[in-house]
Amino acid sequence: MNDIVVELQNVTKKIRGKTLIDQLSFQVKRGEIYGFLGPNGAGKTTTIRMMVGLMSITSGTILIEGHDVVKNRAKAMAHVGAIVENPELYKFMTGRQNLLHFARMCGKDVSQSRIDEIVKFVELDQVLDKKVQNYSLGMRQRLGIAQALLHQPSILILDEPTNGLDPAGIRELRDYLKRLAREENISILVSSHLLSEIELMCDRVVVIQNGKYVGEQILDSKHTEEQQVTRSIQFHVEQGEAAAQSLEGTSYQPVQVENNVVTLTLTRDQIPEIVEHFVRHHIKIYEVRSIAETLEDKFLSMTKGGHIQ
Amino acid sequence: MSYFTALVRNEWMKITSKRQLPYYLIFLLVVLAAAIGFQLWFQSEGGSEVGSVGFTSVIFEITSVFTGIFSIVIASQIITDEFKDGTIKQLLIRPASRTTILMSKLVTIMLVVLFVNLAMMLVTALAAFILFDSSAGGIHLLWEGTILPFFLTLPNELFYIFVAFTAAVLTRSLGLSISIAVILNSLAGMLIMFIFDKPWYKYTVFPHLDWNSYYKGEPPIEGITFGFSFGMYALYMLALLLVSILVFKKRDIQ
Ligand SMILES: Nc1ncnc2c1ncn2[C@@H]1O[C@H](COP(=O)(O)OP(=O)(O)OP(=O)(O)O)[C@@H](O)[C@H]1O
Ligand SMILES: [Mg+2]
Repeated sequence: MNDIVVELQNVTKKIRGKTLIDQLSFQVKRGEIYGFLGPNGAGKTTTIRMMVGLMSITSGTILIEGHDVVKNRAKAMAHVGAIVENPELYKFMTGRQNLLHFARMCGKDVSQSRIDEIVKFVELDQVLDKKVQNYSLGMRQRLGIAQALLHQPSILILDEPTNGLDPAGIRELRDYLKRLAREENISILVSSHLLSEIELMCDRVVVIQNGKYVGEQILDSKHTEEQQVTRSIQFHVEQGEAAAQSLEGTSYQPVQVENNVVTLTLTRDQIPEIVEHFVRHHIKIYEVRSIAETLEDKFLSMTKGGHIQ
Repeated sequence: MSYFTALVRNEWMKITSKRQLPYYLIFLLVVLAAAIGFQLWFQSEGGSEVGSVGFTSVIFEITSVFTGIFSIVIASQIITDEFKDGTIKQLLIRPASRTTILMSKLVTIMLVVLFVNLAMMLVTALAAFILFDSSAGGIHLLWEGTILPFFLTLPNELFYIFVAFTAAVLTRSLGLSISIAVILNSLAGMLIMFIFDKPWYKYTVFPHLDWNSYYKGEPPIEGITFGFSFGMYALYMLALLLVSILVFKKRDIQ
């Protein structure tokens, strides 16, 4: 079996002359959880729509298990399970009827034992015969995942799956997905606009912005350890220039000096060192503030380091 | 079970799980019960008795008008509801091609229309034969008076179903597609009055919708044959079908 499950090659989407996706390429490997990261409006949903054949592709190719999603749609889709934006289900039918509906659609026989297995996996056995309109959002999300998994796809595509879930629901979903990738060797593509969310569950991440590829990064679990994370720290001092000068010759270089605010990228342990440094140089500190980074900053700081180990 | 049969069963499951169909069937039973009640009361007051065949044919003629409108509604809804609920996405990310999906919906609508009409016919006839006078004749009169006319008006009903279905694919709006089909249906009579003497009238769809006239031996327009009518009818139906398939295939789903 080929190790690449999904491959995008120079995919472009234009609508009425506007380029929504521009020459996007990436690959998803078998069994990995692949993050698809980008701010709102970056084009994540648009890309996913093209991957599952809901939208035409202006140029470029998308391959799933080697099958072109345009030329060989039925074969390609047989390997895909997806939730695009929301878990859209038939609310007027029961969970069981919904599963039956999607089982009939996937083009190969889905055994009753497979259905039972999936239902157990997403822990919906108790409510399976209730109408979906009575389900909570978390339950719908799980039923959505169940219907996407019925036919044992090799890639599960989830568009912002944590939208609307509470922290417990998000954690639960994360655990499901990790277990899935591990136990069934399914590749999972998860889109999100939150780096923090991607960090916690993905093996690799691709970042896009304005429809363009920004970068790709391997994520390591150690990376999430508090000490290792760098962030922007603002020091509000009496004289910004003087403070910046005092740092010359040290290993710390200000990212920005403006209006007597000196910004540095630091790990947690480095903050007291800088404070001490400033105090020693008789620089008055009025405020030390940790800045929540924008996605872009954070990704850039991630890639600037060259590696995250 | 073939893939297509599976898709039709899915559509059938969805239609029967919604409230509309059971409610409509209840409505039909209420209409039937009211008609029976009225007739029994009428007879007890000394009114003239009704033959069971006559009763069936009158009641069925009335309810099939309702069913005509009902089928326009479900033919629109089977498309627009998927867009409204967003489930269209779930439907179209499966191996089935969009054309296959569309055809499975169309076949299901036809099955529903047949089922509702035939069930109503059966129930009405049963009730009438039990309650009213059957001395005037039996099954063969039912054939002449109810069953055959129904099958001969079916092409007319199917045409408006196709109009509603195509309009639903084009507009994705339930209100709009129902209106288009119902308005066309109710204005057809008036429209015909304006254009029936034009030389091109025979190339419009309207004279070819009523197949009863051929059965009665008087073609809708002097000099045209049933073969011609059938061909014209098929042409219009095919055109509607083609438009809906092409538009549905090309559409980007949001
Ligand atoms: N049919 C359309 N016509 C024109 N522009 C569109 C269309 N659909 C989407 N866009 C634009 O394409 C861009 C990408 O949209 P998309 O929904 O793919 O972003 P996203 O990354 O999924 O964002 P979000 O995080 O908000 O879900 C947006 O700027 C949007 O306005
Ligand atoms: Mg989106």
